[in-house]
Amino acid sequence: MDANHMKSSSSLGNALRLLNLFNMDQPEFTLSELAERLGVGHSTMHRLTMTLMKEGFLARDIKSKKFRLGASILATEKTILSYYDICEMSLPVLDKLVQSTGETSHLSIFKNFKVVYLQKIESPNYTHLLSHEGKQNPVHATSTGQVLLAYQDTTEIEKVIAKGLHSFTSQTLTDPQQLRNLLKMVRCQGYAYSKDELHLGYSSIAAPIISPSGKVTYAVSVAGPSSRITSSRVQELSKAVKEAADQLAKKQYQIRSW
Amino acid sequence: MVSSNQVPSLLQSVQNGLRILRLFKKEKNIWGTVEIARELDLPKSTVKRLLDVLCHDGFIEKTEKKYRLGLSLLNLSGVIKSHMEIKREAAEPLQSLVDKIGETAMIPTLEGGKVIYLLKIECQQPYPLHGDIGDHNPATCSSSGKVLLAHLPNNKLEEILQAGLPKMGPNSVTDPEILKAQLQTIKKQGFCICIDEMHENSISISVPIRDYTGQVVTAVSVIGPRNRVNTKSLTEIVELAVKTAHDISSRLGYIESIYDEDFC
Repeated sequence: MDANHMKSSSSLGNALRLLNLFNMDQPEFTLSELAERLGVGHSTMHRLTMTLMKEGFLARDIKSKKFRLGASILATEKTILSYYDICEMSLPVLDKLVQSTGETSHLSIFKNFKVVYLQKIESPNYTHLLSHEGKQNPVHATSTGQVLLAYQDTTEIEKVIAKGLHSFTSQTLTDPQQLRNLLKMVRCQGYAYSKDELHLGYSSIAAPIISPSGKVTYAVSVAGPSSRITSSRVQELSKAVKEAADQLAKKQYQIRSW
Repeated sequence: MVSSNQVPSLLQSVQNGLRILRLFKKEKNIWGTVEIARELDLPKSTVKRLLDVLCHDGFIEKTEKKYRLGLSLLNLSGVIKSHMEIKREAAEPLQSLVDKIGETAMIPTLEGGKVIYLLKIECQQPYPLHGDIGDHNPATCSSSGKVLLAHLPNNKLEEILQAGLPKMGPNSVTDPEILKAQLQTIKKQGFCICIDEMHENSISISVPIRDYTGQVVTAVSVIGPRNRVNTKSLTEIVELAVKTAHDISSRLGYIESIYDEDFC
């Protein structure tokens, strides 16, 4: 790679890092904020944002002058979901789960040692949830992650532990041995219940979608405020979530019930 | 090269990288290096290098020898969706429509069988009769309501029609069968014009707005006194309203070519 190539690749790299700065908590940035976060000068940032706007990946509010993600990105969603057949199949099942539990349901995938939400169907009961489609969460601090991890090989589990178990709340499991024990239990009972482990006040229950060979790539979960997802409801909710997951396993892996 | 009409200050590697991302469509969701190079008229080595950067940040994934979009983009699309507001996206195009035509324009939504307005931009000489933000008008008597009803699933439409069709203006349609036939036409032609249906001496024109899912989510509605909107200006208003609706749709992530077959 010559110097010129290095420079142009890093422009694209900067553009992608810029896009990845946007999140639920901060959906808008000023030019100065972007320049500061990426450590580049204002004139470079100006050219970068101009290019991103031209291609529809950024938009700028006329009044506030702040940048936000552009609508071109929304069009990629259909393409991405088309790689995962299970997404479309999951909709009626997730919908039913929302109706029977009154809570928000998700379909998730285990990817690069993280949980990624592929589908989300919101509860009719108002909930300010902290998830959205495509959101990536740490595996050890969510019920979905725990359930996905519980069915991976020991080597995968140890890799997650080796990366470090970051503490998000006072309830996050950070001790490797405790996590190993928890995962054994999760595998035994066929679901995970996580209370306040990633965000205080939010809880969830997840169950694995198990392939005929016992492999687990996807999980189903319900999530909501801890005041509603209480320990007294775990039995009822875990049953509903497991049923949904089993149904999806049948659809995904075409297991005939006869 | 894709650079024929390039503004000098744009960054070419960024532009080319983003154009690679935009090649991936539902109908062709996997691309190889050579195909991309051919499609964008770029050297293969350049494409290879851009793909490496895109893969590194999770925007592209390698699948065997080809490439597909990565989950980083799904995350960004989720961020947009969790903050997207029709009102905000519609405000600017709607204002420019009102400036051009000199009549009031609104963004409606359905609440059961009623139409309510999320956004209203008044013209210089507003006509006093029309709905304010938060007002509930029967959907069956207004162009905004009819355009939205025309794109409802049948069972939802039946539910609304069963509640009865009220008589508001002299031309209100009160026969459900006539209304259903009108809705078919509205769906086909892509806009709706109502004359004296909500009030005497009123004319309204509505064009549907779609979002990134391809579904009709709202509409552009223009409303004014019939004696001010003559035939010539009516044609012009329809044209401009269609243009405005397309503009707002694309701000909401709708891309016509992707959905044409499915929805039109």
